[in-house]
Amino acid sequence: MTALQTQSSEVVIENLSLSFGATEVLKKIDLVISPGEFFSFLGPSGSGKSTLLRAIAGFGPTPKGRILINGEDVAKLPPWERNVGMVFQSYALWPHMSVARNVAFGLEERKLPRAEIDRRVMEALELVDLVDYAQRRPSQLSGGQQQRVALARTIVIEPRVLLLDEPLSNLDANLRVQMRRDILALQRKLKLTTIFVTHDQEEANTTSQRMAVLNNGILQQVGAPMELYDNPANSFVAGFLGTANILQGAVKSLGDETKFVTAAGLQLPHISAAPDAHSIAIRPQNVHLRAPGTGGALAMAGEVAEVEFLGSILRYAATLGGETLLVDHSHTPGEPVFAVGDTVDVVLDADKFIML
Amino acid sequence: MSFIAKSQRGPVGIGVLIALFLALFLLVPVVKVIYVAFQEAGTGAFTLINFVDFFRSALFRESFYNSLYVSGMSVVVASLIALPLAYFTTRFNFAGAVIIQTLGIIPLIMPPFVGAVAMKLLFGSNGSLNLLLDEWFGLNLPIMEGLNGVIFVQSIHYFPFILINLSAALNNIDRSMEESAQNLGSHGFRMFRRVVFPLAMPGYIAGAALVFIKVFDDLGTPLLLDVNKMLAPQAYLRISSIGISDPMGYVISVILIAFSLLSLYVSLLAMKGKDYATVQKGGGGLSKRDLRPWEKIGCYAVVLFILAIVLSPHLGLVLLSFGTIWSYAVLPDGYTIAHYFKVVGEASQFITNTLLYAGLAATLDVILGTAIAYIVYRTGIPGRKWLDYGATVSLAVPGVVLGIGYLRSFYNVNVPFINEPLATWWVIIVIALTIRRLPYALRACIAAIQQVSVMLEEAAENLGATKSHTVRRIVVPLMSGGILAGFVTSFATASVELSATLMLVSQESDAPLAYGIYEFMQSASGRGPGAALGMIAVIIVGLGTYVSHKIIERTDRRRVAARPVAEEVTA
Repeated sequence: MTALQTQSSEVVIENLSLSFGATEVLKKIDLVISPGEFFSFLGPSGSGKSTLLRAIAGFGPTPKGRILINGEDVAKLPPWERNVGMVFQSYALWPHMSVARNVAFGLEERKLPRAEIDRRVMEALELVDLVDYAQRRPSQLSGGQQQRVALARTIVIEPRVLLLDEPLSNLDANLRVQMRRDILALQRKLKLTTIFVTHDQEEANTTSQRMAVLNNGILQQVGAPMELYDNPANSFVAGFLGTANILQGAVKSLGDETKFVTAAGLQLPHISAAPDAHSIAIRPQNVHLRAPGTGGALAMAGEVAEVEFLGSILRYAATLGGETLLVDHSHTPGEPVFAVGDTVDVVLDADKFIML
Repeated sequence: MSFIAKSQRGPVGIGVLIALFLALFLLVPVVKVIYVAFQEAGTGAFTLINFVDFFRSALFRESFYNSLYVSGMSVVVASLIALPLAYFTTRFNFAGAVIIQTLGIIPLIMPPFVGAVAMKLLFGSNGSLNLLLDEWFGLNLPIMEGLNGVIFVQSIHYFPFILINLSAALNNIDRSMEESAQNLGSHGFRMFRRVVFPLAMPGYIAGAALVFIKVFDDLGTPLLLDVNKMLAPQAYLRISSIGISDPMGYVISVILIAFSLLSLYVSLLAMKGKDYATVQKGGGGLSKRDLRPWEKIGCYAVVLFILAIVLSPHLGLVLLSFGTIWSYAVLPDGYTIAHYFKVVGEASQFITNTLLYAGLAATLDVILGTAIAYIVYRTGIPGRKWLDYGATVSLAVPGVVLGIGYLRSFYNVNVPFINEPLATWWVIIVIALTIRRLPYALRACIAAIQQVSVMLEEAAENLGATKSHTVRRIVVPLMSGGILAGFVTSFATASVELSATLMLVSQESDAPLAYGIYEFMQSASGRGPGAALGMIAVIIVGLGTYVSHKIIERTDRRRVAARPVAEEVTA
């Protein structure tokens, strides 16, 4: 049981643009983040995800557009008047203060009575399991412990929103998974609206209720992780979330059949829903290789160009009709493996095609 | 039982030789000085009577307080100059930042004693400024009166140490330090006081301690300003007028060493466990903001005012060196280049001696520095760290103390064939300069060797090169930029070293530039030629500083260009 009061705030971003000098790094972003939601900004480096997060906290150039927290436009407020807690990528713990003083800092700025500050600092440290470390200096803590101090320092001020800027990127792989679970558990407990910035799709997938994919400062798509994976809005999202074979081409009528014909001339069955599709995304697990002559009626003849053993799967690259497709095959011990140069039947799950 | 590997026999031999050199020319003289300070004059028994005598004398008590006061006030005034400059460059997008960077170098290319007399002519009670003020407002500012003059001259010479250290400390603070404070509700001066200032404090204290001790130990500036009631001048006057057996010079030496150690300790304490360099990958110092127009005017006014003060010794020296007669006048009566002819014609030995001494000392410094750096960072010889400590100890030994130590230790040592005491032979001046500059050359060499990947040496050995070949063909060439920069800096600073040489010059024909300037400046008629010699010294130091900056810049660029490859190798 914790006495920390938390609020579940709604964050609305309206027509937000932001430039560094002449370079526009965020372009007309519109986004609604529900109260209590765990939301991720996902994108490659330079996509603008960190800039967007920092704009919510009030850092960087003043953006155009509005940032509403529970209906209040904070876009023009200085950072210290926003009450949105941010955990920095580098943790940004002050090396000249003890853990307890780091955590107390924000409460002292709010001029709370000493007794209450002490009580809330202890509660916050309890929450991240660091009570015994209160008098240590940040330099005496491990990376994971520093991360937890940063988290405690932020939530102790009872922020309206919790912003996490790639908080796991400085941790080693095992710790990262543990920390991810801890952050999620804490968020569920506090019901704090949380925005998490990451370039790691696994991190975003496992934590977020919904996420926004950004590229080049443009919001690409918003939705639940599985929804985005299954129904990407464009080839960027399809390629960024997981692996996809993306083939460019056009829908054409050939005789009595409608087909998707790629630039190299490969003819694929067409899914009727998208008559003006310019590309098609096929996940590697929806492509199969069979011994020649065993692929059935819809199989196409191809050749194995590369084989990679990735542990649980074998990843082939197969050429057919001038295109190269990645093929994932679950690895089963003892099962025969195709070699480079082998002629194979290539079978495509036409019902899993994603027309873009 | 320990065997020294065959491959380490060479380095061990060299290490022992260096240790002997340091023991003979650093440890023995200093220990001798301390020993004599605690010795009873007649019997040689251990005693504290010399210290009691020292503090019983009103003159010495006054000298002691004066030295403390001057050093302390110099730190205060130097801080007042450095603080706004450091603040402007790290917090604002200020176009005048280039001027500020230059400001941090200009004073260092002229030793304070060189400009001291010129400063008297500009700012003294009958100097240019006061003549003007008197005419206009009937005012007379006692800027150069007594201790004020020493404080003023020292502050404008040494403030760059505070400026450089403080700016570095401020630049090492990551933006997120400030942003996280803002995020938690803090801003403005309160945030500066609670977060930014404490993070910059260690750098400030390190710079301030350095200024304190440099001023405390300095001999030349007070002497040239006729301020004798300070510790270093008293030590010099005692030894040079009463003789090397007078205990007071030794007592003062011990006090100087004690304060040197104390200030080194304070700056170590300030830095210890407070490596507050918080800049992250891809991050950058504190956020800077643009200046509003009136703020810009204010900043420029402050910077230009400081620039004018900082340039005044240089300006004064130029005027003095070209002026015919300059007395009770705003500017010299007329201009001439006769002083330069006089100096080059009659006093050229000062220049040639300086080039010889500083050249030899700087060469010895980089040889010793490279050898020590290699032994410390590339061999496993037990006790190797002590070579580094030993060489660095010389930082805490004021020039006056080293001079007194040499006189006392080597006066009875006759140099074979020359038949002269070692203490009065010109070579002792070279050795003193070598010891005095060694810590700086050593730092340059250590920085250079740390940037040479061990893998590059292993590759050479793998291809059949012996240790000595590897050092000669791989290590030294790769260190060459750093070594060269170390040489140039040692050369430039050694050529204007005064405090140790003043004690060791036994005849004018052996004397270097700094001594010549000091001699000339003693008489009113010698000021012109003295200033001309000073100008030559400034040019040597200025050129040296410029060249070493260029070398470091070039090596850095090359290193940056080579980085991706190096990273692939280490990955």
